[in-house]
Amino acid sequence: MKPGKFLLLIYISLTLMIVPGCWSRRELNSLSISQAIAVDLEPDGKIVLTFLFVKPDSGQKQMGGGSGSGMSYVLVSEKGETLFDTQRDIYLSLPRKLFMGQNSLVIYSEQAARAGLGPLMDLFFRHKDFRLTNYVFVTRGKASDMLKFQPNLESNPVREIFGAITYAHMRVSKTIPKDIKDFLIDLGAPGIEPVLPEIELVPKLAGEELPQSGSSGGGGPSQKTKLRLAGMAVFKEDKFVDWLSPDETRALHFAVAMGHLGIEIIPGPSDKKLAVEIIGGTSKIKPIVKNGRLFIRIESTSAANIGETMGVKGIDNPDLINELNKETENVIRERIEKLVKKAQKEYRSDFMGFGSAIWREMPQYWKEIENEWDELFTEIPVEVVVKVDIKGIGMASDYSNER
Amino acid sequence: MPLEKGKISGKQLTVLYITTIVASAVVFLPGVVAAKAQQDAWISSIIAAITGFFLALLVLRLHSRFPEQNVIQYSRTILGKWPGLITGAGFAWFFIHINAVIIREFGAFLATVLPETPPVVFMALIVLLSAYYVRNGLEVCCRIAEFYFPIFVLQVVVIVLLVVKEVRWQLFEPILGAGWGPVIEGIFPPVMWFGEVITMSMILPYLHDKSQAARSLFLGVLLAGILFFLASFFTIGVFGGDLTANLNFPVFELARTISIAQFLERVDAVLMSFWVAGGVIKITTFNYCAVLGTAQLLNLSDYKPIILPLAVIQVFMALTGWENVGQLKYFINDIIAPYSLILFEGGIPLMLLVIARIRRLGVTK
Repeated sequence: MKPGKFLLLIYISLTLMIVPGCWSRRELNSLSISQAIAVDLEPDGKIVLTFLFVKPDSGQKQMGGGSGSGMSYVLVSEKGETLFDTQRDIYLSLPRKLFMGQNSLVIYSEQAARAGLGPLMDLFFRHKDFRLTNYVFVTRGKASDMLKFQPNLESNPVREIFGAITYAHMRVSKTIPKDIKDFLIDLGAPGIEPVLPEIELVPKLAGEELPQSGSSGGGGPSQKTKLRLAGMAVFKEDKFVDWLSPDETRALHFAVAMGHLGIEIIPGPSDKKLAVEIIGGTSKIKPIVKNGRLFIRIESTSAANIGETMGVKGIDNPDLINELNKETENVIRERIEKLVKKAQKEYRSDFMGFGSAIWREMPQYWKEIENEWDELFTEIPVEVVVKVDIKGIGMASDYSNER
Repeated sequence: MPLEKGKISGKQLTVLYITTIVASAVVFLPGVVAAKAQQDAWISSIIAAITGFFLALLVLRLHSRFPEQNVIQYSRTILGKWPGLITGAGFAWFFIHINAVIIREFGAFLATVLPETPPVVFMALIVLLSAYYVRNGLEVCCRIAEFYFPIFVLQVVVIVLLVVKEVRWQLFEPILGAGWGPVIEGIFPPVMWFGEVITMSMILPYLHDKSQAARSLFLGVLLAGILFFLASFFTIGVFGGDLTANLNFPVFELARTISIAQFLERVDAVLMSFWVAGGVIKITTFNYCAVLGTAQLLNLSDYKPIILPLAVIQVFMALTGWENVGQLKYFINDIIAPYSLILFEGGIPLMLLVIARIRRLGVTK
C-alpha cells in the first residue's frame, strides 16, 4: 500500500470516530418516558390525558421515601380536542421530549368508553411509538385517579398494575388481560364484541394500613386506597355497555376458554364448604343446526384439584369425589347459564362470540343471518355442557380432630 | 466486448434472487394480501409461490435458448432491430421505475419510524450505497447478498419462533369462508413480487456453470416462498385477517409483539436494520439491471459512467412520482399488478418465447 493511501485510510478512520451521529437521536437524559396514559372525557367533549412519566435519573435509590418529592415518577395532565393534540400540548409544560415506546398501559374512564373507544384508540394504533401490546383498562371513575395510589412493592403504580394483570388471570380468573391488539381483533371480527378488564381503587382494609410516618403533610398519593383488578367492561362495537362482576368474569373464562383456573366454592356434605381449584381445561362454543333450528352449545371441560376441605371428611373416597365433580359442574354450569342470560337479555352484546363461532364453522350460513344477528342473538337457545374432573386431593387425605 | 466480466456461482444466484424477492416482501406484503384475502392470506401466499415457479420457468426457457444473452439482448434477436430496441427500452424503463417504487417504499417506511429525518436522506443513502456496489460489478453485489443472506433467514426464523406462543389458531378460521374468490384476488400482489425473477434474466448469462441455472432458480423460488409463507401465516395467526389488512408494516408490528419473559423484547430496531440491509440489496439488483440494460441499449463500452446519473434519476422519481403514501399504496395495490405482471414479468417474456419458437431462433435441443 502506498503511504499516501495509508494516510488517507487513517484519516478516514479517524474522521469516522468523530463525525457519525444519528439524525433523529434521542438521548436518555433528554427524554420523558411515559409508562401509562389515562384517557378521560370531559362532559364538554374535551379530552384529558394524564401521563405517568418515570424520572430516568431517580431510579431505585429513592424508593420507599414516601414523601411527595421523593417519588420516582410524575403525573402530567393536559386538556385538548384530540389525543394527539393533547399529547403535543404536554410539551408546553415539560422540559423534555416525550417518548412513548415504553408505555405499557392505557386506562380509559367509563365516560370515554361510553363515547366509543374506536376514535380514542386510533392514536395508539397509528403512532409509531406505541406498541399494540399495551394493556387496556376501563375504570368507573376518573381514569387519572387510577395512577394515584401508593404502590406497595414496585417503584410506581404502573409497574404495580402491570405485575398484577400479568399474574392475576392465571391464578384467580376474575380478570382477563387485554391489549390493544386483542381489542382491535375483537372489534374487527364478525359476531363478537370486545371486553376489557376493569380497574378500580378500593379502600384499604383496617389490617393493611401502616402507621403514618409523620411528615405526610400535603400531596403524595393516597395512603388509604389500594389497587383492585376485578371484573370486565362489556362493549357493543366500541361503546361501553355494562360491567361484569368478578364472578361473571370467571364464567366468561369457562365459557370461552380464556383459562380454566381459579377457585370454586362447592357446597359439601353437612353444610360444609369446599374449595376446588380448577387447574386447566378447554371449552368450545359450537353452533349446531338441528331440525332447521340453530342453537349454541358451550362445551367446557376442566380438570381440578381439591384445594381446601374446610372440615369435610373422607375426601379420598371416590364416591365423594364423583359427587363433588357433579357439584362443581353444577356450580359452573349455573354460572355460565346466568352469564348467557345476562348477555342476551340485559346487555344484548355478543361478547362471548356466538356469532363468531357461527362465522367460523358455517361461513355461508353466517352471511345469511349476519344482518339480523343483533336480534337473533338475544333469542338463540344455548345449551351448556360442563365436565369437571377432580384429579388430586393435595398433600393430605384427612385430618382427625374428633375421635 | 462484454460489459460485465464477472462470473457468479449457482449458490450466489439463489441467494441474490431470494434477497431480491423477500427483502421487501416480508415488510409490506402480508398486509396487502390480507386486504384482499383476509384470514386466507397464507393460502394466497402458497399459490403465489407456485405461480412463481412458472414465471421462473419462463425466464429459464428463454435463457436456455439464448444462454449468452440477457432479456434486452435477446428481445432484439427475436424481434428484430427496432421492435427489439423498443422492447429492450421498455425493460430498462421497467427496472428503473420499479426501483423507484422500491426506493420510495423503503423511504416511506423509514420516514414513518424516524419522522424527524427527511425521507430523501434515507433514499439517497440507500441508492448511493447500491450505486457503489453496482460500480464494483456483479460479483461484489452477489457477495454482499451472500454475506447478508444467513442473517436475513435467521431473523425471519427468529421472529417466527418468538411469536409462536402469541398465535391464536382461531384466527385462521373460517378457512375459505368466502370461497376462492378473495384468495385468487390476493395472489396478484405476491405473484408480482415473485415475477421480479425477470431481473435474473439479466444475470443468468453470467452464471459460471450453466447447468445450475434451473436448480438454483427453483431453489430460490422455493425458499422465498417458504419465507413469505411464514411471514403471512404468522401475521395472520397473531393479528387476524382484519387487523393485518389495516397495518401498513405487519411484520414490523409482529416483531414488536415479541416479549419473552419481559426480557427479550423491543427487538424491532435490530430487525429494521436487517430489513434496510435487505432493501439495499434489492435496490442494488434492480439498479444493476437498469444500468446494464441502459448501457447495452446505448451501445456503451462501459456502464460505469451512467451509474450516478441513473441513481439520481431513480431517487428523483422516487421522490416525485407519488405525492403521498395514499397514492403509493393505490399504485402498488391496484395499478402496478397489470402493468408489471401482465406486461413485463409475464406477458412480454411469454410473447418472446412464443415468437422465438415460431421463428426457431436460438439453441434448440
